[in-house]
Amino acid sequence: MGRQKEDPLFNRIEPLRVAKGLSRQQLADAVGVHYQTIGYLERGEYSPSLTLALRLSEALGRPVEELFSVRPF
Amino acid sequence: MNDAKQNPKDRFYWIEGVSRGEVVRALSDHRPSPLRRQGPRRLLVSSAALVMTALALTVFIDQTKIRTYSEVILMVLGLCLFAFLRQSVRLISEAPNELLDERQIALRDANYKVAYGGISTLTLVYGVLLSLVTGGGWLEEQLGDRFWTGIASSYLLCASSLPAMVLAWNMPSEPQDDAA
Repeated sequence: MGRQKEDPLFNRIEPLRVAKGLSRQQLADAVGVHYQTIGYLERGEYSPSLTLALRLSEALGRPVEELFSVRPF
Repeated sequence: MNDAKQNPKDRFYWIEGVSRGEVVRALSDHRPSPLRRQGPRRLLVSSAALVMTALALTVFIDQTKIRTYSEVILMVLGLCLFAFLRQSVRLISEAPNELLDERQIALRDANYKVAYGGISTLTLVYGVLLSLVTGGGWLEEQLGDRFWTGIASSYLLCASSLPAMVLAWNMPSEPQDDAA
């Protein structure tokens, strides 16, 4: 999580989750993490592993590059 | 983590000292609690540190009866604080990897490094004290048999609590709306 301060990773998880009508708990269950981890991801306070990023992409039905970017969206 | 929710069969992890059920319950507890905030958690850590220090210092009480009562009271208090500490970090400090997600594992492991540094230092200090107490001289005369009850129990309590203490101290307050 220290790496987060050095290399910020921007994401669009929250708007895509809301557009899909999912709660944080539902998305967390779909990708196999704790509901708080979704909150940390949405706020950009945690950078996911590649596996988790791909799971999120699958759960939200969007390519991973639409979810995450090293530059602000 | 999902496996834990789907598998109704509870299991006790002897090395970690937790059961699958209690970890799942602690992680999915949505009830508001002061222990979800960093301030009260740090107060809990400070109280535990104070109790452990006091337990170690009981060794200097001369009256056997007062010393024994103090040791028992402080040990019970220390164990209660240890239980609260574990709950305050949702058992993340003890839970096996299979019950945690990658963020929780990363958080726990980062704090383990600090905790084990602390335990190593504590063990070194304890080893030096032990060699002084058993090696003759003033300290052996002063402490003698008392060493094992006060300092040793404080050391054991401190060594087992340190991972939870470090995590409780460093973990940020939990945002209220994450379950939404």
